Amino acid sequence: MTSGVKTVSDIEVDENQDFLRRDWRRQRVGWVLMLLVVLAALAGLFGRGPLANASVGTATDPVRLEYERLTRYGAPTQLQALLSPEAFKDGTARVWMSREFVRHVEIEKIVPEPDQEEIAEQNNVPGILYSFRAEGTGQPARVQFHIRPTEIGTRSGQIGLAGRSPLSFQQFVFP
Amino acid sequence: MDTIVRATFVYFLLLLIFRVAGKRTLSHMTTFDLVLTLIISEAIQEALIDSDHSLTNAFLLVVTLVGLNILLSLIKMRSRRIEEALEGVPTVVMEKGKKHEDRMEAERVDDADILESARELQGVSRLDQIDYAIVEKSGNVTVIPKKGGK
Repeated sequence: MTSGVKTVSDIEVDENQDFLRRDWRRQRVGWVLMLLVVLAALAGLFGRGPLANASVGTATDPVRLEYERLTRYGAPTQLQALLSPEAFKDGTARVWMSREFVRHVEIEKIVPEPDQEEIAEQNNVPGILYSFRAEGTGQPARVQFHIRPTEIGTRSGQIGLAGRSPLSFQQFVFP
Repeated sequence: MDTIVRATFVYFLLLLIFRVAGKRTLSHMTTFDLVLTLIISEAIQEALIDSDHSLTNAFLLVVTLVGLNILLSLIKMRSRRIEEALEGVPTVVMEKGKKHEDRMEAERVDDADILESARELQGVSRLDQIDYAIVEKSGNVTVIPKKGGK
């Protein structure tokens, strides 16, 4: 027996049966874990799936937000603001969003483009006020924010109509 | 800084996945295994470099990955337990001409794999000419033919 290499029968090989048996068991556990990861991903635990989709606000609210509560770093995602007809005053809806949320995402585009973007504080919370003009707003309107998270972790945001109490939402960004 | 963190994370994550997958998983390159390896590298590449295509970033990544490899090899030299944990151990699947079916099944090796190695490495054509067959840490099957036996 030299240099810690065990001799099995008449060949020199550093075999270790106990370790092997444990190793195989660990590997099987690992396979099951990988399967679980795949199933969880299919369900949307890592974003882009039923588990990830969320919304705040009810159908009767002037603003309702649909978004992904779980998303990934650098991956495109959307915030969809649904504006009811009563959100429009004189053909304009003014949607306020907290600055804190915008700071951690890259806004690629807003559809439709807002007519105006202003810096606006609401209840001492800094934010941005987007104005959308509309014609014939008998139907609920939809505004899409195409965003890309630029920071990992949990962040909360607020969205609402100017001068009204906003809705809060949270988003977790996977690395 | 995040380059180093990302490279380290990817290194250990891949180490874990391939360790769990078992030594045979990507050892013997079939055509499809090669394609799979290329796809894996492609998949991990974007996450590794993010959007930083600078030479500095590439250099830092390579230094980190190679450095980790050197570091681990040094640790493995000193600790047998860590070496086993990181690399696994060889499995003797044929001993004195007798097969260990349970070990062969666990390592996903069958008669055909042993015979393939026997032909390739030793020019041996039948199972009964084989004394020892071992699944090495690399996943390759090595074969020792019976002495004097043809």
